[in-house]
Amino acid sequence: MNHLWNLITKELKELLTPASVASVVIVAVLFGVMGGMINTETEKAMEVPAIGVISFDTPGGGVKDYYKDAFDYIHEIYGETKPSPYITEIKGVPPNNEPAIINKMNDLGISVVLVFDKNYSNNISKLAAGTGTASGGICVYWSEVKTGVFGSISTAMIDYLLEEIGTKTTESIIGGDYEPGVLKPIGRDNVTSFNGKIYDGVTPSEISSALQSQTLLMPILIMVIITIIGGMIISSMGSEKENKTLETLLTLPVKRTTIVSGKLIGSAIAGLLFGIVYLAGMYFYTNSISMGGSLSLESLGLTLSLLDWGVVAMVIFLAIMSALGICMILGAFVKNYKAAQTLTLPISVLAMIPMFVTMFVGFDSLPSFLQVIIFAIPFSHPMMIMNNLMLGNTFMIWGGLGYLIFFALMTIFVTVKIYNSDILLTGLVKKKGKINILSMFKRT
Amino acid sequence: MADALVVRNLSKMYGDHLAVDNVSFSVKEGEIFGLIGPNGAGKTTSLRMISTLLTMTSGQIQVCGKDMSTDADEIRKCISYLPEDAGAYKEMTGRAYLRFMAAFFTSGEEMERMVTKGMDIASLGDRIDSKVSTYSKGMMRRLLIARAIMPGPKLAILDEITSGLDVVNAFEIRDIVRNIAKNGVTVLLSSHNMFEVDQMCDRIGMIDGGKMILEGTPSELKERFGVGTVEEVFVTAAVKR
Repeated sequence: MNHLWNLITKELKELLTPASVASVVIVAVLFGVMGGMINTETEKAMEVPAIGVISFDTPGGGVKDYYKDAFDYIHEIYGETKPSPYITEIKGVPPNNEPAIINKMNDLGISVVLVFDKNYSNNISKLAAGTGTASGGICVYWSEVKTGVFGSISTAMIDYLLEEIGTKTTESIIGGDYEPGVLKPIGRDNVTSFNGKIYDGVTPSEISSALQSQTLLMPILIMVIITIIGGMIISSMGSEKENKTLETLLTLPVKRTTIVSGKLIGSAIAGLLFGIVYLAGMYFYTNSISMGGSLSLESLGLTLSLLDWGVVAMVIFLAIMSALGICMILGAFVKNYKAAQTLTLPISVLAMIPMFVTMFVGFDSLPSFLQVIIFAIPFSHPMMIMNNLMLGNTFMIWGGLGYLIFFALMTIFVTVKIYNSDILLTGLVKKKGKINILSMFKRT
Repeated sequence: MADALVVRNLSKMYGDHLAVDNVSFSVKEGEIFGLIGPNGAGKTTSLRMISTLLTMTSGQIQVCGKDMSTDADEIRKCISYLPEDAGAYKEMTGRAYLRFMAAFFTSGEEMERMVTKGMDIASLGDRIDSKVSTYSKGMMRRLLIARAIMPGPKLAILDEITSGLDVVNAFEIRDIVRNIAKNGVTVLLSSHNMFEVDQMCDRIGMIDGGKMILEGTPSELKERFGVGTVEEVFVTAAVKR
């Protein structure tokens, strides 16, 4: 046989083990699913949203009805004929009553409404005649804020719509060619309903950006900590097995729970120390690139109390303990240091999935079955906890905390059981051609 | 003399594979008992069960009068196990490793005395303060033997203690084991080196296919098979099977 081929086949046999192939396939599948999720979310965000239109416009005698024109322009821009299911004219709402408009939007299931001011036509007429300077007022009411990066796209679609209404109105007044900006017929304002409160002069994308600027650090930090400590503990287990130091340790007069606790706490401390260093680095990084003038969460009344920070710390601690528990269970099946390197991949992927979801899509935008999957991944909770606390998502906070306590205890329980069984030394053995998982609960 | 170790009808199944099949033997206090047998015979599995690492499928093990099925924690207090090709924590120095291990048995001045005893047994001189990662195989083995012996176990379980060592290191380690046995420590060892077994062991047990097929003193066995060395006993017994 050709010498080169002989060496290549040897290398491939060593590298392409069932564990390494399975890890890569799992990663590929998960990234595929995630890509699909992001794609769906992007498409959803790129869709022109169904809007409502409310007019309080009262054109004076002889004044052109510019609202009527604007209503036609909206249909034109949407490419729709009247009546369109995408454009709903809402009537019977009292003027200057923000809560009433928001309630109506919620009743109708419409997330964006354009409210035309009572002087809309009058102001544009005066502007056209050169007897006034005020623009025709349109206030955009928003009833939905998406927390992911793609949340800002729907805002951009409305920006485009208003710009086109302004352009078409200008064309109708001046006609033909004109200098851009010569006339600004539309004056815009925003009202956003978010988390049970109404914010004047704020768009959803501004709220979304403010939330991201404050909470973006957490998913990255958690992902880094989990990956580092996961790698450390699995490699440590691989190294202990390879050097047979674990066998020595297990024959010493010390309880197995003490050995497990020692490994868990030691790795948790190391992971936290690494995490603090990364946090400091990333804090300076994000501070140095943050742009001025952005909305602060304090101005929205979204801050964390001392108790909230305690909950954040608890959730991070429990997530780290869960990660360590998973890693020690995986590490129990590692035969040597080399094999340990492959097994760190699943834990990294488990940390990366919620990180990308939190950063790009947002938990609320996910379909239910994906929400269940993200909830089930213990590392999702510390990534989402700050937003949940600020927004008062009670179920996600306490449900997540309860789940993490259960998950951490379960993994530690299983780890102790494994340390008390033969599996640590023998791995899972086949009996009558089948692997008996329950053999890990057989006590020494 | 009382029995330090009693093994009765010991069996171990790995899934469908019977690795140890109804093995029985006993070792008296201060005795050096050698387990010999071909590769995969069940020696290491037996040693691992006796050292509380693996569960028994059936049978009974008593160490220093304590029963394995009920008193595994107590048994760990009076045994010391040294696995084949074992290593130590590479980032520690030899002294730090001995101190780390001694801390599981005692504390304070007693611990320092134990560490000093360990350093005397290891005889690594100034290198005791070098990192373990810099040790040769012989130095590593001496350190590990010292670790196993310094707590003063009643039963030392040693798996292939001189495997891969040069003549001088192997000689010195055998000498250490003989000395601890003279001081009353019971030794259960496994080895492929028949010369070593012949020289060191008071009694020998031969395992093959998971079964104990021979047991006796080296001279008894040599006489029974009409041969001059334990190696010849081994080969003759293995061929007969």
